[in-house]
Amino acid sequence: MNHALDLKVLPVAGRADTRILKLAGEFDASAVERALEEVTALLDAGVRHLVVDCEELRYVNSTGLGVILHFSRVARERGGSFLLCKVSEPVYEIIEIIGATTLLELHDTVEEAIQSLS
Amino acid sequence: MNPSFNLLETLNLVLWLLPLPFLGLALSGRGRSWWPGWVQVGSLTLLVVLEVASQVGPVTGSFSWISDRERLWNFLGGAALQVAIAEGSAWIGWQRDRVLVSRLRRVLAAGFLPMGILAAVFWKGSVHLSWILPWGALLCFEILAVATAPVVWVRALRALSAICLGVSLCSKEAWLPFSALAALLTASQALSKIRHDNGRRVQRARAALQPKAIQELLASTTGPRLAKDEDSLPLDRLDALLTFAMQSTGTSGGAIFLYREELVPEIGTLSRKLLCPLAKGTLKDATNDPGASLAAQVLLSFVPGADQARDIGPDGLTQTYALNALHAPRLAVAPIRSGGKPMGIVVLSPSDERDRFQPGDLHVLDFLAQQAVFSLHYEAVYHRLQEDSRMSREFEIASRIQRSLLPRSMPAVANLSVSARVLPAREVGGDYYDLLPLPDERLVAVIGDVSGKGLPAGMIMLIVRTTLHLLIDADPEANPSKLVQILEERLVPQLDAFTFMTFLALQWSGRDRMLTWSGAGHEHILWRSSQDGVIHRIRTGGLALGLQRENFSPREDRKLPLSPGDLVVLYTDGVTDCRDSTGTAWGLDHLVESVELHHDQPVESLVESILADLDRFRGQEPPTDDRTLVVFQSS
Repeated sequence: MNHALDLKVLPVAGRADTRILKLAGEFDASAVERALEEVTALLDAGVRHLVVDCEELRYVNSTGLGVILHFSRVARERGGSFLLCKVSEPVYEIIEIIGATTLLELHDTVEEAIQSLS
Repeated sequence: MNPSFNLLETLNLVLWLLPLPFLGLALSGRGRSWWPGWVQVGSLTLLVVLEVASQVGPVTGSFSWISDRERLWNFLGGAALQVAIAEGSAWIGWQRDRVLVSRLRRVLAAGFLPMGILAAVFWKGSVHLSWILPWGALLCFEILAVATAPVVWVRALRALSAICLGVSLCSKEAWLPFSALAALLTASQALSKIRHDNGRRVQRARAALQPKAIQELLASTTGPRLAKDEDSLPLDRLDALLTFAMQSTGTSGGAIFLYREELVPEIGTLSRKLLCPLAKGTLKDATNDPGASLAAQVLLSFVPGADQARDIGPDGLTQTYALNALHAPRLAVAPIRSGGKPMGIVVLSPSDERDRFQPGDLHVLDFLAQQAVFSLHYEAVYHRLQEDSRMSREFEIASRIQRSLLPRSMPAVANLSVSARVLPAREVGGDYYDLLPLPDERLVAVIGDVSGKGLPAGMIMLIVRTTLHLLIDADPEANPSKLVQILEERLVPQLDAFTFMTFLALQWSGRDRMLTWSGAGHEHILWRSSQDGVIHRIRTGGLALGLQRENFSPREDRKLPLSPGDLVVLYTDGVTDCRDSTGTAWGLDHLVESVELHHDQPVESLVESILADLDRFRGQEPPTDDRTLVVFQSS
C-alpha cells in the first residue's frame, strides 16, 4: 500500500507565470516537507498562479489541508492565486467540514481554472 | 546361529553408528557441542536395556548368545566408565546452563556409575590390565579436571582422554568399534566446545566494548560521515586507542588511516586517498617525514604495486589480515568499517624481536578498528543519545501533564450522563476535550483537534485549555459562540502558518434539556433521537480556528432540544480516519453503525464498545492520529 504523495509540475502553454500542479495519492504529514519545498521553490521562481489538479488526490488530512490553505494565502498575498480543480468527494468533505470552502478557489476542470485567470 | 542373534548384532551395530552424523555436525561447527554426547548416552542406554532384557526377559531362550557373562560385564562396565568420562567432563558446562536436558544427562551419568561399580564387584573373568589401567587413569584425570583445573586444562585433558581411550581399547577386539567411536566423540566435543567458547569470548568482548544501544545507533546512522577538517577528528582518542593496541600486542609501530569522505578507495590507488592524522598530515608527507610511523612507511612501500594490494577489494579492506596475507612482511592491517562502508584502516607493525602476529593480536586489532569507528561516531552518537533521553523524558512529562489536564471524573449534571475517552497516537496528542460543570445544572463540553500531531499540537491544546478555563471563570454565563469567538482571537496569533484547530463548544442546560453549540470546522454531531431511533448527522458549521488570520467573522449559536434517552456522540477525525492494514478508513458510516449497535448500553460502556469496534477494524495497524470520543445521554 503506497500512501505517498505524488507531485508533478506541468507548464501551461502561453502562460509563463502559471504552472499546473498534479497531486496524486495521499496528502498527510509525511508529504508536507516535500510539498512545501516544491511549491515554495515555484513561488520563489516567479510563478504566480498555481492550478492544482486534485483528480487523483485520494485523501487529505488536517495537516495537509493546513499546508494547502497556507499556499493559498501566500499565493494571494503575492498577487497570484492557488486554484484547486477536480476535488474528489472525500477531499471536498474535509474542506467543507472545517469550513474552508469559502477560503479556497475550487474549479471543476483545469481548463476552467486557467480561463478564470485571464 | 539363530536369526535373532543376527538381528540383535545388527541392532547393536546400528546403535553404535547412530552418533556418527552428529559427530559430523559437531565437527563442521553447525551442531551444538552437546549433541554427540547426548546421542551417545541414548544409544548406550538402549544397548544396556537390550543386554539386560536378554538376561531377565521372558524370551531368554532366544537371547542365549548373551549367556557369556564375561562379555556382559565387560559391556556394562565399559559403558558406565565411558559415559562417566564423557558426562563428567561436561560437568562444568552443566553448571553454566541449567536446562532440563543437562539434568537428565546428569541423572543418566550418575546411574551408570553404580553400574560400573557393580560390574567391578561381580567381575569373574580375567583382568586385563592393559585396558583397566588407562581407563582408571582417565577417570582420575577427568575428576581432577572437573574439580580444579581452569578451562584450558579441561580441554587438554579431554583431548588426552580421547587419545588414551582409543589406544587402550584397541587391545580387546570386541571393543574396537566402540572405543574408536568414543574417542572420536570425545574429541569432537572438545573441538566444538573450543570453537564455541572462542566465538563467545570474542562476542562478549565486543559487546562489552560497544553496548547494544550504541551498536544499534551506529547501524541506524546513514553511513560514515567523517569530519572534513582534521581538527574536528577525535585525534586524542584515536591516539589513545592506538597506543593501547600497540601495548597489548607488544608492537612498536602503528597508524590509523582514514579515507577522505568524498573518495572511495580503489585497488592500487590507496595511497593518494588516505588521510593520516596520526602520522602528522597526509600520507605523502609521512613518507618524507623520518618521524612518521614505521607502519605508514611499510604500507607505502607496498601500495604502489597493484599486485601486492590485490587483497584490498573495490569496497576497501573487509577483513583483518596478518602480514603474509598482504605479502608485506611484518604488518597487520584491519579495516575500519561502518554500515558496510570503508572509513579507513588500522595498521600495526611488530617490533624487531617478534616475527609473527599471534591470532590474539589480530583480535586486538579488530577491536581497535571497531573502537575507532565508535570514536569517529562518538560525538554524534553521544549527542543523539543525550538528545533522545532528554526528549523522551520531556515527552513523558508533557504526556503526564496532558493526561492530568483531562477531566478526572465525569461531572454530575441534572438529566445527563457523560462519558469520554481520548487515545493519543503518540505520547502527546493534539486532541482535546473538556467538561466544565457550571452553576444552575449547566455544563460546558468542548472537543477540538489541532492539525498536526505530537508536541507542537499538544502545546496548542494547552493554550486552548488555559484560555477556555480563564474565559469560563471570568464569565460563567458566556454562551458557546462567545467562547469560540474569544478563543479564536486569543489563539490565532499563537498558531504557525500551517496549523489550525477544529473546535466545538457545547453547553448543556439540564433544566430544560437544551443543547446549545457553536462550531469551528469540527466533525459532525451524531444525535440519536429516542423518538425516531435514527442517528442524525448534524453539521457543526463555522470555520476552523486559524483559517482566518484577521477580520474574524462572527460566530453563531445553534440549539438542539433533547428528549430523555437521546444520545449525542462527539468525535475527532482520528476515529473516522483510522486505517486498517489495507489503508481503508473506518469512516463515518461505520461509526454510526457502531453507535446504533451499542446504543442501549450505558454511556461508559458505549464509549468502550465503539473504541473496541475501532480496534478490531484497525487490527495490527498502528494508529496515526489521536482518537477522541465524548458521549452524552439525556435522561
